[in-house]
Order: sequence, then C-alpha cells, then structure tokens
Amino acid sequence: MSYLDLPLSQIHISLVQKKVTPLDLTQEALTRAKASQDNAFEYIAENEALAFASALLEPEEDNLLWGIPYAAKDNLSTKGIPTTASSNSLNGYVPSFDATVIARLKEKKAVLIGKTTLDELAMGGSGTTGHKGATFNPYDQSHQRMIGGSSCGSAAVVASGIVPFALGSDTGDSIRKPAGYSGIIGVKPTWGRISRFGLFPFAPSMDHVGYFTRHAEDLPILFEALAGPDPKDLTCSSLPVQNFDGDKTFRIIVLDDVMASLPSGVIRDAFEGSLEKLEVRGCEIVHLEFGLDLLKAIYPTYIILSSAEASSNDANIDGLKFGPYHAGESYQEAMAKARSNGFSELIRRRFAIGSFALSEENRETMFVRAQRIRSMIVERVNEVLQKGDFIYLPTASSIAPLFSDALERLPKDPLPVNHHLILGNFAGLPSINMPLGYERGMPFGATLMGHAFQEGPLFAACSLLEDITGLGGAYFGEKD
Amino acid sequence: MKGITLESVNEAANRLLFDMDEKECQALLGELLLLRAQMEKAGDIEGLDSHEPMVYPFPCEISSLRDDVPETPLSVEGVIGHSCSIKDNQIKVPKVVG
Repeated sequence: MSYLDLPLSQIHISLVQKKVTPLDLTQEALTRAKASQDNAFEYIAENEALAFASALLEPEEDNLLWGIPYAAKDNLSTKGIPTTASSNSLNGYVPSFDATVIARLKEKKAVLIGKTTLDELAMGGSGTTGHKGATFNPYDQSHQRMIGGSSCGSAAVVASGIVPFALGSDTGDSIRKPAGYSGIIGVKPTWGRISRFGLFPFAPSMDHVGYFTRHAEDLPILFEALAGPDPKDLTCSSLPVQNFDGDKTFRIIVLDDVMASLPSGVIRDAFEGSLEKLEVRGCEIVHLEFGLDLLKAIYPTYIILSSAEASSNDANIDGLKFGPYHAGESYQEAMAKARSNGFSELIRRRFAIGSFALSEENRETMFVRAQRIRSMIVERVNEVLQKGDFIYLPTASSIAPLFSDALERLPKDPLPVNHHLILGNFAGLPSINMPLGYERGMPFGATLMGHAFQEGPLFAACSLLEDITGLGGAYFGEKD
Repeated sequence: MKGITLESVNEAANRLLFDMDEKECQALLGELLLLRAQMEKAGDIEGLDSHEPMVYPFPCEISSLRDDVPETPLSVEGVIGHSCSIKDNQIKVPKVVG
C-alpha cells in the first residue's frame, strides 16, 4: 500500500517521521496522474507541483495537510495556472489570483498537482460536455460508463487513487452524484460555509465549493481547512465551525415517496440492509412522505433557476474579457462570434432557457413561479428535518449509466430518486455521498443530508456508515 | 404566457449574443415546451402563491463593512502577460466606438 492511500492523519505521521517526503508523494501522484487513462485532467501542473513540494523541508507537526498532494476542479481560479472550466470560451485564460480555497490550501502547504475536467462551466451531469470530451469512470475499463458530473475529473482522480482528496463544486448534485458513481465520499457543505471567491459561478444561489475524499476521518480535517468567513465573499458565513463528539445514535429520516421511485434490485437491497444495520447501532429510522407534487417539481424548478442565473452570470464571457478574441465589424459581432464558437450546444440551450424564463412575458409564470416553488420545497425540507437529524436516501437509481444513454436532455418524467439531491442546493443544507456497495463491479452510494451549519454530526454519521459498509479508503486498482 | 415558437427561441438566443442552428433551436423548443408544461402543472400546487419567491437559501447577513487593505497591484508584466494582443508594452483592445 502506498502512503497516498492512507487517511490524511496517517500520511501526516509518515511525513512528520520523515518516512516519506512531500516530494516523494508528489512524484508518485504525478506518476499516477500521467498513467491515468480516464481523461480526468485539464492540466497536470507537474513543474509547479515539483517546485512547490521541493521547498517543503521541515514538517509542520500541527498541520495535517502539509505536503499532501491534491487536485482541483478547473472552475477554481489558480494564479499562474490555466483555468478553463472545460470551456473553449476560456481557452488560454490564466488567472492572476487564487480562489480562496486554493489560497487556503496553499497556506497549509498542500500541493496542487493538477486541474481536473468538468462538464462545461459546471453545467451538466454526465461528465461528457467539457471541451476535452468525456471523462471515464475508473471502475469501467471498457470506457462505456460515465462517472457523472459536473465534477467528473475530481471524482475520477480520487476514485482511482491518484490523490487523497480533490476540490469540486456542486450546484445541483455535481459532487455527490459522481462520488456515488465512483465509490468515494463527496461533500457539499452548508451554503456559505466555504468561500466561493474565485469560483467561476454557475448559479450563485445554489453554488457550493466542496470536496472528495476516500476516508470519513478526513472529512473534518478538510472542512476545518476550507471553511470559514472570507472578506472576499460576503455570502460566506461567519458562524464558527464546531467539532462534534456527541452521541452517535441518530434519528434518520427516509422519504418513502422518493424510495417508491427506486426499482427493486441490488441498490434497494443494500440501502435497506444499511437501515437495518443503523438500527442495530442504535439509530432510529423515521419514515416520512415528502409530497410527490413537490418532488416532481424539483427538476424543472432547478433547470429554470440555474439557467436563469447562469445566463446572467456568464454574460461576461464574451471574448473580450476572457478567452479567445474573434474579430468583428462591431463589438457585438465580436462577442457573438466568441460566444457562438466558445460555448457548446448544451450551454447555449441552458442560457437560452434562462433568458426565456427571465423575459418580461415569461418572468412571472416561469422564473418567479420557480422561485415560489423553491420556497415551498425548502419549507417542506426544513419541516421534515424537524423530525430527525438527517434525511438518508440512495444517491441515484442505478450504477453509473452508459455513455450511450447520456443525452443531456430534460427528462419528461423525472424520477425523484435521481433528483432529490437538489433539495440540498435549494435549502443550502450540508449533504454527503457515502459509498454503499457494488453492482456488477460498479459502485453506488447513499446520501445523508443534515441541518444547516451542523456539519459535525453529519461527519459523525458518515463515520458510522463507513463502519457499517467497510468501504473506507476503497478505490479502483488499490493494492494491498 | 407568450407562445413558444422557433422565432421566440431565436430571439432568446440573439439576446444572449450567440447563434443557434435549426437543429439546436428545435431541441430547445422541445425543452421549453416541456418546461412550460411542467411549470403549468406545478402552478396547481396548493398554497404556491402564498409563498414569497426565494432568492437565497439563507439571509446574507452583512453586518460590517470591509476595511480597506492596501495591496500590491499586479505588475505590468503580470498584466500584459495574460493578453494575446500587446503593443508598446500596453494591451491593445479592439475598437468598440465609432
């Protein structure tokens, strides 16, 4: 087993005892990155990482991230390192500043080894729409199954053991869904917990920066390093981060009308098995109905709100401020050429949906109605959570779908089990995917969602679940 | 709600300063019609109109103003290094007026 495969605390002990150096770890991570066939990197920052790691000589005993290699989704700005958000519209853009999360990890002396692929501008859930093409699920070596998105590359690099952790972003389910499809832990914290300064925005009312790891015990370590107020992001909360060492017998809520949309089979059996084991550990399982009419409204509401926000936020990607310049007779023509050539079809469709929903004649019946539905859904989520500590549900209805099924078209009758993760974005609640099992060699997961700003109990519940499944640390291709 | 047609779909694209070909417009038209139907159905949810539109999940409490902090500006080299069009050590921008 490599040091890279261990939980952060154990890698740290090895570094402090000088059994291994940051340079050794970085070289190994880079070797694994270059050998990867998953199309998970936009940019491997080999020279930058080696230079940074070489300068780390004396271990910092109180700093658990000192010398640890990691990767970051390419929609997070990195000073001096290209940042494209996997979009041709940002080709050649090299930020002159670091996103706050990158700056915080730099202060902790964690080593950035590369920028990872995403669905273009973080829109999309298949990991296929970025300008470098599809990112592959490490668990399917035939490259027929997706890993999901939009944080496809970050999920792939953690799931294949290249780095112990990676940063992502989550607007609808973009961390948790790919984490579920690749058998790792994916964290979306409370909205406003982790600064979004330097994140290319998709839909700021629902955007979150989060992370992937393979060990539940790493969750609070990374959270403490990343969370906290940021004067550069005034939506960032100043509420203190609190440790949790309370009782681990939780009241866990299962939404029966979401479960009704889950077909019978391996995933259902594994999920129900985990409920029984949680009960054995002293947890109480509470079954509730959410309301099918609200569940059915989640996905169209999400598409309208996120597209509307995106069409406004990304108006600055015009070929003048960012990305390749296309000459024209007027600046409008130059912008139109840059935007027509820079954005893929999916992005243009999403922007057009947003523009349409925001137009004067449709605003009330589409955009404002979607905002009212969101309000109603959030009220219901908070009402449900009064009955327990967490909502616990399967992350998706199946293992990672085949690429041939990845249409990136709106579903006519969205299955609640495939879209309930959006509840966490609407309500801003912390939510984590945990690995649950395998079907035909492909992983699947379950997601816990807790109360706002109560990440501590959620991390404790994740540890409990990891104990039950025995899947802590698992990744594709691991060696004993 | 205004009727959704290929023309209105094109208008939406033009407002955003990009072109869409006919196939894309047809795909978009289908999605908009589906979304409209789904939102019309959602409009029947009891009690919906009594809910205020939600903008953010929580109130953004900005209780203090940020102090001015002197910062070192970017160097000239740092700035022009990001431009693909430079003349006389300055960024050459496209003509936008006149």
